[in-house]
Amino acid sequence: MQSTKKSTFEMDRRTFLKTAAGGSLAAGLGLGIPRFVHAEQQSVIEPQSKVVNTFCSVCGGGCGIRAHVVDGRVVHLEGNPDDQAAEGRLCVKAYSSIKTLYDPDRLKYPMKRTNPQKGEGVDPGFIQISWEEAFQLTAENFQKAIDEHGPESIIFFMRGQDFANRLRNAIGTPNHVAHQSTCFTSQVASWFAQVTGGGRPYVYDLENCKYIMGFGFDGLGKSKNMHIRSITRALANNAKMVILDPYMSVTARKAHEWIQIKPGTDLAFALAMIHVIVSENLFDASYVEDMTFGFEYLADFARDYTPEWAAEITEVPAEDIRRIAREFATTKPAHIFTHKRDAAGPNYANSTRLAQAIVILNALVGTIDREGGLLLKRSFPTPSFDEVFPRPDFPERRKERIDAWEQREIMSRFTNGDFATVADGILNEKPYPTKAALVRKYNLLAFPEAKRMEEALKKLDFIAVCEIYPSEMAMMADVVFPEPYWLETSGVSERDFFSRYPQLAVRTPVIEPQYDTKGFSAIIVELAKAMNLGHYFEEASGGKWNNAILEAAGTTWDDMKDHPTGLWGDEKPFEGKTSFNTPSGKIELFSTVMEENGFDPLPHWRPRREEPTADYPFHYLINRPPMHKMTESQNNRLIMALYGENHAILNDRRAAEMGIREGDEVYVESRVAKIKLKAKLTAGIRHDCVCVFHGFGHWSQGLSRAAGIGANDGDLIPSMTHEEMKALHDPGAGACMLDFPVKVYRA
Amino acid sequence: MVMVMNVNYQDRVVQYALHARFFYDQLLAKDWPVLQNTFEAMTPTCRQAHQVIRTEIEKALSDKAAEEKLRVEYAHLFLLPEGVKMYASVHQSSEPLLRQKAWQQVTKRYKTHGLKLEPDEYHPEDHASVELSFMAHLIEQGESYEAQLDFLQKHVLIWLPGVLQKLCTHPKAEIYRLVSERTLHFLKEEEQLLMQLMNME
Repeated sequence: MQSTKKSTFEMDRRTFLKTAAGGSLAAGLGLGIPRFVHAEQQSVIEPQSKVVNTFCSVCGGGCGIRAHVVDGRVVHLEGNPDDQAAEGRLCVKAYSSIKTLYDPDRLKYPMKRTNPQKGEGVDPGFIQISWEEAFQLTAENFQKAIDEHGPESIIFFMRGQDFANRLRNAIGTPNHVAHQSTCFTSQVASWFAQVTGGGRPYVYDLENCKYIMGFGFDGLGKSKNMHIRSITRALANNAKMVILDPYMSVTARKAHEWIQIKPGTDLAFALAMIHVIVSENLFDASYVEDMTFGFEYLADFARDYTPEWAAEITEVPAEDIRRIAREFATTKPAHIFTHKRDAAGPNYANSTRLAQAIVILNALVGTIDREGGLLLKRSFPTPSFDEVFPRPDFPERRKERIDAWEQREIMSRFTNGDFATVADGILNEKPYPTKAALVRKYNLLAFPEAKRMEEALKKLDFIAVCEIYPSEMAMMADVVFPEPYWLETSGVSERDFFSRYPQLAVRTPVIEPQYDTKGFSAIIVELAKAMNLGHYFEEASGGKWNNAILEAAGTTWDDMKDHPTGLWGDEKPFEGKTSFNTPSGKIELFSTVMEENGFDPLPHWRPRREEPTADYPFHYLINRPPMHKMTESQNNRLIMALYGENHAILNDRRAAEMGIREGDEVYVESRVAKIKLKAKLTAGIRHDCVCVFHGFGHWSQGLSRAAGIGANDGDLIPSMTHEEMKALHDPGAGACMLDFPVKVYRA
Repeated sequence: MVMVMNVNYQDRVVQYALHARFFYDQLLAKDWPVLQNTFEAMTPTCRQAHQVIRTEIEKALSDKAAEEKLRVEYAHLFLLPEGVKMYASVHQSSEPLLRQKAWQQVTKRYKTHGLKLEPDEYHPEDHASVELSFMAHLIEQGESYEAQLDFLQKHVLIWLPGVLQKLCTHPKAEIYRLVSERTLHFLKEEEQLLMQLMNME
């Protein structure tokens, strides 16, 4: 019987095989399932490994990386030892990138929204669509907005990017809104006016500095790879570090002196330093003589800014102010470092003046573009996008912008824009209605008063978002364009953050893209074609642009793509500049540019905009965990294991007086919103301050690890109307990110 | 007493291919003719077992609004994080990430059979649709029952049933709940069948 059964099986199987022999049944069904192709049959499979040159794009540092790949999987990232930026090391954000690369939560395909309702807690009802449909839908909606409301009704929310800039200009909209008013425009304004005639530099020669000062400078906490290395070397070389900060930041913890200055009063301290240095003739006479303009104004300017005057304002003893000023002037080299969102960042109404005062102080001690100080960028010539990709003329466009950026006397020359005022423009149609937006790499949580910005975005008819994660901004999108992660892309980086000598880094894909993604330049070109603007991008591609950048530097993509180090540029000895791009050709202590534009040529004292009150008795501080990158890293397993939640950080004694214990839930409330957090108590913060770390409070359920954790610090930051920003009359047009008081109470 | 086994190899291949297809990509109205032919390619018994799924999918793909609803369901379950992850690596590694050891192992397994995934394929080698497709391939190529069972037990059954269980109770799953229940049942049947076939050789 058994044999009969067996023979029955064999007959059936043989019959089947005979049937199937002529071709694959599965394939013949036409179901479109995964197919296999021939590979060399291997009974013993040896591991295949390779090392691919790339550079990090988590922050703008661009550290060179050697990516180790085994059997098609990235297993390790190593700092490129030949790279002046990385010097063989990376920061935790780079090391953790592999987790983001292989995160299954990443966006995989283009999608469109089916639920017209938008907002927190609303399911977009996304469905997968083809790239063709995604471009068509976006083009149709953009065209509709243009036809009904003019090209200015489209907003580009993104950092500057050559392809996007061209599309925006081809459309004819002036509305390019970027985040810099919340980040560093105060410093850009002062550097532009006083030193560079352009942007601000970021090359900090900390390791050769012997007296490092900072007003809220948190080089270690902000965790730029090269800054961490430089500061630790400087300290190992017996540099003294003095940090003024109401909160004991990572850098403050490593400082020789941590001074808990009253928030928003750093300008007074800096002005008193100028007073001491000038009145006691402690300045670097030859540097001042040769490199600066306007010294003769300083004595009168600073006469009343005595340490005693500053002590009343800053709550720092006058003798300490005087001592530190003398130490700063006589320890060589000395420098006051600033980086984006420190006290000279656009945190207070007086931040731009502080940035001006810092330039003056650094010039007085002779360390602008000198070893031990802040160095201007050395870079290769940059090709002209228009020369590489000739184009037709752009259409005329309106000057007025939805964020009133064109009204900024100095900052309007920079392609930045104002996160603080754009909600007012959209909601109140000032100066005209806006109807559509293209967003790239900006999350909703990054805007001041994010909930108001959410309302503004709801007012738009159509939003297209380019992203790698289903962030809050992606949840507001009508169309989502998924981008690859940087480890999957090609590119060239100039590395503005560390270029003592010009050096480009090149990357090729470490692995092929894992999902159906497109690079941003390709998205722009295809969108342009869909909008019948393809003639602005004849022969244009990201690859050709990469090659043009390399050709301008003396090499080519073909030479560099297989280069053993992925780096182009030989070390050159550093020579400090002897002239600067200002009207006088010198560092302008008295700024003629500020004066011409209707601003104070010298940074006279100005208090912050809002002081604490009886109802709102706390100063609000924001910092961020060193291992996180803004709102982008909270879905990364490794990073979240290192720092998984934000808190309301309070002084332990003050909290005890208020009956708040460690871990208690508290509300932190400003005049525009309140957030709930657990209290974290420490002696390392002023009694009248509360500090909340940025990056948390995600509500997108698409971020499976980040959703629902902590609270969004930015919810508390009041946005501004166009009129309020204008009335501020701040050359840096800063968003006053900390210039408002809050109250704290138990939940 | 030996049980009478009714083995239809075509049914097995068709079911692996069909279930691979369900998890491979969303279903659109234009897919219905091919799906219909696929159901018709089954024996009556097998077709009967799929009748509920067939009816529901046909309804969903016959109407634009219903098609969109099915596409939304697919996106929730398979494209967005609140759904399930159809990759072996995510479930078999210490970290729920793609392209971990399980992916390397199944990729190597394909190579031992002289195969690799088509280069344009977006899904990695350890995606459910790929592993199910490979099972269809093993059957079609006349690989031994031992080889089939070995792949089924060492790859597919290690992780996919758990994911299918989650799909069966996922709040967003309606038609895909029916699909998952059927796939679970099919895989259990397959394991039992192959074990019996091996015992009878």
